[in-house]
Amino acid sequence: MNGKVIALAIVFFAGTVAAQSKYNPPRTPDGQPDLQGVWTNVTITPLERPANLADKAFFTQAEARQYEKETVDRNNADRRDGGAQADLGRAYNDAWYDRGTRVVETLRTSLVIDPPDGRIPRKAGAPAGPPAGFNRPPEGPEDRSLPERCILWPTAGPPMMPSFYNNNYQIVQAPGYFLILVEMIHDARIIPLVGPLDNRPHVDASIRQWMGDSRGHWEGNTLVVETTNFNDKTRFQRASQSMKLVERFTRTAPDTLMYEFTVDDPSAFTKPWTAQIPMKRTEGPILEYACNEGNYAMEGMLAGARADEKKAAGR
Amino acid sequence: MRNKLAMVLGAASLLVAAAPVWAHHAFAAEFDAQKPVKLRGTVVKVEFINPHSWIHMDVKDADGKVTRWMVEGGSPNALFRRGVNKDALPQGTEISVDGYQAKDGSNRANGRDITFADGKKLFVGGSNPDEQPNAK
Repeated sequence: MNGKVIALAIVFFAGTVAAQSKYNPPRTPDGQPDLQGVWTNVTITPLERPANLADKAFFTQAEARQYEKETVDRNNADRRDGGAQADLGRAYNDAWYDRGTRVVETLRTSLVIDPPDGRIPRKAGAPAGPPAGFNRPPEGPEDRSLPERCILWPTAGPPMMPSFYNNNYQIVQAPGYFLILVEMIHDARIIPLVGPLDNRPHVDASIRQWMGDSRGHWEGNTLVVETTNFNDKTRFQRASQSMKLVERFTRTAPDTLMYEFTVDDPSAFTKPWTAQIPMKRTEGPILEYACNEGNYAMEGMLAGARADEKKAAGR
Repeated sequence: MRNKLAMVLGAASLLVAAAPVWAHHAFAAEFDAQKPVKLRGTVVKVEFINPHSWIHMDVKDADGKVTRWMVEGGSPNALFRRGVNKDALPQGTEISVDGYQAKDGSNRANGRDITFADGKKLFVGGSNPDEQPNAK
């Protein structure tokens, strides 16, 4: 590592909230800060700051409570208003969902903390919105989206983001390894820990993986995980497969795991951006999410496309 | 001040209200918004499976003819965390289902709104800001 990189790393590291934590977590038998357990990142704080809160980085307590009430009411899937399409779009009763009811405890108005406006610095001309997957009537499963095919949940990560249910993660540590079990579509990220005596490099650039290729190392009480080698199908926030991701995990209290991630991809963003999600300890266990086995809906969606074609042909 | 905040938050609601709603998959690809159905019948079996649960039910029409329907719900994981288990909906339970029928005309529907025969909610949700069932 050259001097410039080290200086840059120190500046960034010192700037993070987690780095300023005074809490000293217990240690694993091999001496790592102990981050093990089951954690949830459930929150209704949006990734990006809503445009009309542009000058407001933090809620007051009263504002947070009002925002929570309005958001929970709006999200409530038991609503039947808005016409048949909207009604069908809400799918099923609210009891199946678990979107959370609170904003993050820091009272920030967005998960994005840098840039300071809380917005992702998208490059002009870079495509917005979720990955395309509905360009034509599906002829087979390959024409449906990754989560519908039970391959990867868009918020399973890396980076890990809250979704509308099953926002649960289990961390297991072993000498030389850090494992994150993700409840959604039950992925397990196995992250090798590297250091001066064990510098396992990333896999070859020609090898692209669904969850990328991660390497972790400790900076004080913070686990820093760098991930590269993504494939061109996940495209987090429309980034390319060249996305570089740095995640930081810091236990800042017995029941709080501060999670921060920085996304860098000059093809999609004008500069790197950072989000922060306080994860809270929750009850286990992680439940199995055997997705392909019960995915009757794939058959239903393909049958639906054939029915649409028949209808269009006037048969 | 309070009014100003209400205005700001109200405007925020309008902005986000148009955002798409997500389930594990697009229900509009599977079911037909032009084919609403109301089913009343008895539970035959429940599959609490991922990605989505399915309730199988027998529906009797006016002539006494029984038709088997499959009704799609959500992921069972959140329900389990709220204490629902496989015994929550025994065979023979009478339920009412408001939903939309499958596009291909088969006897499948989404369980848009499922209640017991007396109108009570089948499962109770966690949309109360005063309780956080999933966080310690």
